[in-house]
Amino acid sequence: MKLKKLLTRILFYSIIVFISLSIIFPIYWLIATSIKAKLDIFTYPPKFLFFTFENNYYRPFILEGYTKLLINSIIVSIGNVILVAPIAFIAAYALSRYKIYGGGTIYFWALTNRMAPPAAFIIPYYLIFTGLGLYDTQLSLIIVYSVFNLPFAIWLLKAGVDSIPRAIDDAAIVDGCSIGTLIVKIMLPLSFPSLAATSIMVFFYSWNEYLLASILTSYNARTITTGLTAFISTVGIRWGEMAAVGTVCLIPTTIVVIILQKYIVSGLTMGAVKG
Amino acid sequence: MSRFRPFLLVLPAIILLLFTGLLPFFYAIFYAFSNFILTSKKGIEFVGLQNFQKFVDDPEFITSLSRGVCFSSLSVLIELSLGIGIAFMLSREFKGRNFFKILLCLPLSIPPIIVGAIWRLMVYPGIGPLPYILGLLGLKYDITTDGLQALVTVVLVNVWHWIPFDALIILAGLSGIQREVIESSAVDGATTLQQLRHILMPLIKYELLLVMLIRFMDSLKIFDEVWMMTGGGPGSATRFLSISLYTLILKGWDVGYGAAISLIFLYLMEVLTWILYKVISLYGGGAS
Repeated sequence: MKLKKLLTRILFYSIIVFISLSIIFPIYWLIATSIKAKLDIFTYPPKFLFFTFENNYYRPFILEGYTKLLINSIIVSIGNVILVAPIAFIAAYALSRYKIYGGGTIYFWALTNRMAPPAAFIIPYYLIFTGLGLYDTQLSLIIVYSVFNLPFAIWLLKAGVDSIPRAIDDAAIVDGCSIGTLIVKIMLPLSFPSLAATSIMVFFYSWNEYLLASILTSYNARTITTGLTAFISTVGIRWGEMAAVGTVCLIPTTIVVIILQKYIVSGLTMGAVKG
Repeated sequence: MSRFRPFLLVLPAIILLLFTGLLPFFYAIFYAFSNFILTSKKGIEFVGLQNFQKFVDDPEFITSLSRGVCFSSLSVLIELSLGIGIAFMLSREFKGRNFFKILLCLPLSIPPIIVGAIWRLMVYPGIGPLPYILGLLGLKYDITTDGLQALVTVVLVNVWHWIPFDALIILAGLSGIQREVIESSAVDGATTLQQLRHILMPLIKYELLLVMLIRFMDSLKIFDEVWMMTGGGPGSATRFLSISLYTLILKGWDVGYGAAISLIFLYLMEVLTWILYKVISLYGGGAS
């Protein structure tokens, strides 16, 4: 009996170790390639540990202007959070507290936008934003991303507001609090966890987006994700530089996930699953 | 004033969604009935249902759609079975559980296009460790020439990327179950597998259904990972609907045909979304 217990324990932990390794190794491989010398990238069998170093970050970020792409990504992602979070919050409050005519359809619409395939929006967005003269600007991406982010943000935030007892609203209104003060001074601090989670998710989505950015930008507003495909050409693939840019691109999202892991989990599950 | 107040509060959201969501939709409908080509000097001419007829006759899109359905079903199947396993492991206490949970979140934190880049580095012949390791085992593995291997690889990458999502949602469902239920079944002599099959699975039916639908839909519209890894190749082995549409548009800027396909794609996702909506409002309750 004791032996059986020990064996299941060993089995359990070896599965855990196997899963951990299969998660970590590909990420390690990306980072390793980003500091690997060209020659060592192509050696066969692959060099897993002891390889010659080379700074693959220098060329793209110092010589080829990828820093600008990085700044564009930051502007677009934060800009989208600033646009989406307040609008979503007041909408979520209204949807949580009042019976709005068509409220159910708004929710369905929200879900639809979230699930719609970005590829289907290429043509309309291209025509709309070239028509408005906003082609290749950060603003176009900030606006465009809200089509997916705003409904999602409303969805997440509504669950947060729902969990705040209505008695708090009533008490505040009896005390002569206006609706604006109620939202800003009372609801906002109380739903801070869900607001933080939502902002992170919104930031993520904008940071990660590739398809629409590759269509709506060409030079000035190009984001870091779209810069990545430039390393793949018919002549050859610049693996080292690609890995370097990729590594830089995943640093912010990974740091956020590790620090705010608790919020990420609740953010992922809050909308449709009551955790 | 107070009667309109709730409406005023949702008004900014509605305006933004009208502009970013509904307007493009009308654009797509408008152009779907035209033969407008952006790069040609010819003006817009309306051709009725010709573009939709073209879709029915064009094997390219039907094939990429069915290929996508295969890809998504396979992904969901693997993800769910492994996801349940991982969630089940995480629902017990063990040393290093929190660390493992953070680790599990890592793939989720990676932008899809980077996932594509990572796995391109892993599997590309001549530089990747995976072909090397499989070569040691005597397997010939080359995703640039073998279509089936490429398809399987893309499925596994999709699984690798999204399994944490499945596991975490299922875990949320599992942690909502009272301990007594599980303990009393153990007292009654149920094995772990029996517990999983007859007690836990029915209780987390909603979470399973939700994950299944969301992941199926997300896989159906996949673009970034596959585009970065294989570009749809070799041949057309990994060319799913999004990639077909993207290449069609960028190749010739055939706005009319592209818009028609966009509409069909949207309609398909809309039907699936409607099912998802029904599931959430029937079982989830709180979300709507």
